[in-house]
Amino acid sequence: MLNFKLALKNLLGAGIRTWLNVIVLSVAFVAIIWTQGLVEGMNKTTINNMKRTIYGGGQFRHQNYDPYDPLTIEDSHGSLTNKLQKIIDKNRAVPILITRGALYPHGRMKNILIKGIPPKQDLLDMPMENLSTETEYIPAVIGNRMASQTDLKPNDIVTVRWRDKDGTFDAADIQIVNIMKTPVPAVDNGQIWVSYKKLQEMMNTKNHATLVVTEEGYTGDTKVSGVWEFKSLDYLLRDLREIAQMKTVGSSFMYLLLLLMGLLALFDTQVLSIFRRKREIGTLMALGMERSKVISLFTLEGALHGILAFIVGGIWGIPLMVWTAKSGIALPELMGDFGLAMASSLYPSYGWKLVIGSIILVLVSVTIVSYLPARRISDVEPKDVLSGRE
Amino acid sequence: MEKQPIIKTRQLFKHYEMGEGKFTALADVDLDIEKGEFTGVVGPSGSGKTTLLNIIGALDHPSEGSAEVLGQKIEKLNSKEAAKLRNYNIGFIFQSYNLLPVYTVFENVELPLLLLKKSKKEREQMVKDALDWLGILDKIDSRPAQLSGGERQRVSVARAMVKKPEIVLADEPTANLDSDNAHNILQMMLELNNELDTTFIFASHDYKVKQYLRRMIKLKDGRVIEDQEKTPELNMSEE
Repeated sequence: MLNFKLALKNLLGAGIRTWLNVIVLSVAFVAIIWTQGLVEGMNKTTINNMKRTIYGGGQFRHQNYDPYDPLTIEDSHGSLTNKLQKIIDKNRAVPILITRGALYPHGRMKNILIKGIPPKQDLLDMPMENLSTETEYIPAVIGNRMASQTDLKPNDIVTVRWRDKDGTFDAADIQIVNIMKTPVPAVDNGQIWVSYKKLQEMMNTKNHATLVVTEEGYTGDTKVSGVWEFKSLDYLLRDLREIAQMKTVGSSFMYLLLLLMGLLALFDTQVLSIFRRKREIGTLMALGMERSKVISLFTLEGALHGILAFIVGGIWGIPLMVWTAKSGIALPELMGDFGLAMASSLYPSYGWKLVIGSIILVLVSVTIVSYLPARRISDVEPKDVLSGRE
Repeated sequence: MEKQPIIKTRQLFKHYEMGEGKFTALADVDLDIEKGEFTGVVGPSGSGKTTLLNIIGALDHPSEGSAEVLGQKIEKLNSKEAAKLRNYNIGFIFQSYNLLPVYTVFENVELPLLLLKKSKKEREQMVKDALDWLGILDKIDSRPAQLSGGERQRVSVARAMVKKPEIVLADEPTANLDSDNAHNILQMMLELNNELDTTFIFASHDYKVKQYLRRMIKLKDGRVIEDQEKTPELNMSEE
């Protein structure tokens, strides 16, 4: 307690030197938490968007379905089993049928995926009600990226070609009834959405589906037949989590760089302080303070920089972080083109693990950096410094 | 009844390594200093005055021989025990005051009491008494930089005396003071010596200090060349 009082007094007495260090450290503190919060927020947003729009609580997939192989997609559908149908009927899952096709916007040809989804589904965050629109063409919904790639607008009519289950080519005109704004490129790029029943008719595959997306938090039966395999949410998110992990590692370099800057400033101050205050060190020893206590006093002084930086950082950093967490940070339109399922704004997320972890890391580092120069006090001989020989 | 010495040195040597050779700062010093003495160690620069005070103050160890202070052999003390001896029993007064610049006068004088873990109430009373005694109570909230040289040395004396130590070691206490301030400080030390029976040992070659001493130990090249009781030329009643 005595050392704490003395350290605080020395620190505050040092005036501008203390506050410069505290400000540098507080910037490092806030920037570390803020940048990590951004990465965390980006990861959370991406995962949430994927869950809300296409992963739900996991998917039943036809055993042949491989989302990374467009060549097998036409053979990756099958009849829904009774068990699956019951889950769908209870509105706990949404069936989706997928096939390959070609779209001819403005005389150009574009290979696409045609996806069928029940227009009235409300489990997935995709506005598909317009697929029920009465029109002489096939009503279709596309995403904003696809609209941009094909230069299609609402009410445009465009020809689409596909093959039915027997391999026969067929073609029809579709009408764009809605352009949905979605943060998820996986339900947008290179694809059109039509009514589930309509696509079954087009492919002559009554009661078929490629995958069945369950509701978020689905805990029901996962064994429905040998043709259908349940892919859990953890399985579906594993790639995204790997990417998130990589991003976290990448951002840690920034984290370490910021920390290093702050620690370097503190180390410098500590070295200078011990050099300049040798006489004070000798006086404390002459007054009867043990050498180890003098070392701990100087270490504590350094460590208190970290605590002051935490307080100062809190004063200016918490409002900043709360504000960005509430209002979000506007992202450029291009972000979606990088394949990230991001909304137009990024909302940083500051979990307690991040905040507590950062505080502990900074305080421990500050203490170590303060201790290293303070160890040199063990070489100080009071008889030398008091008589001015050092 | 015969007084027992509280400081005893026997065949005390102190050598310092100097390149390949060694420099002898103290050689064969035999001294007995009793409680309540007002003693000065005098001699030219490099004669070993400060080294002797450092050993008595447990800031340094003898190279040979022994130094016993309040019954404790300095050569056998580890750094913790030496710190404890200084903390409880020894007060230091330095030529350049060595006050802590960020602390107020009160906090500087309070420091030894904090190390002794005195209660807040006790500390306040003892610090105020010491400052009052030295006539600087009005400077209690000042910082050292706001004080004159004489005032700083009084604070330094107050810091050395506040815990009422058995021994006060003063290394050239008047070297940075003008004549008036030097006499004032010495007068106060003499009063403290008379009132509290504190043992004062000075290292000095200042004539003003010599005027107050009751015993003078002359050192030359680390050896005691003269050790004499004397009648102070100045005492409490005259300056």
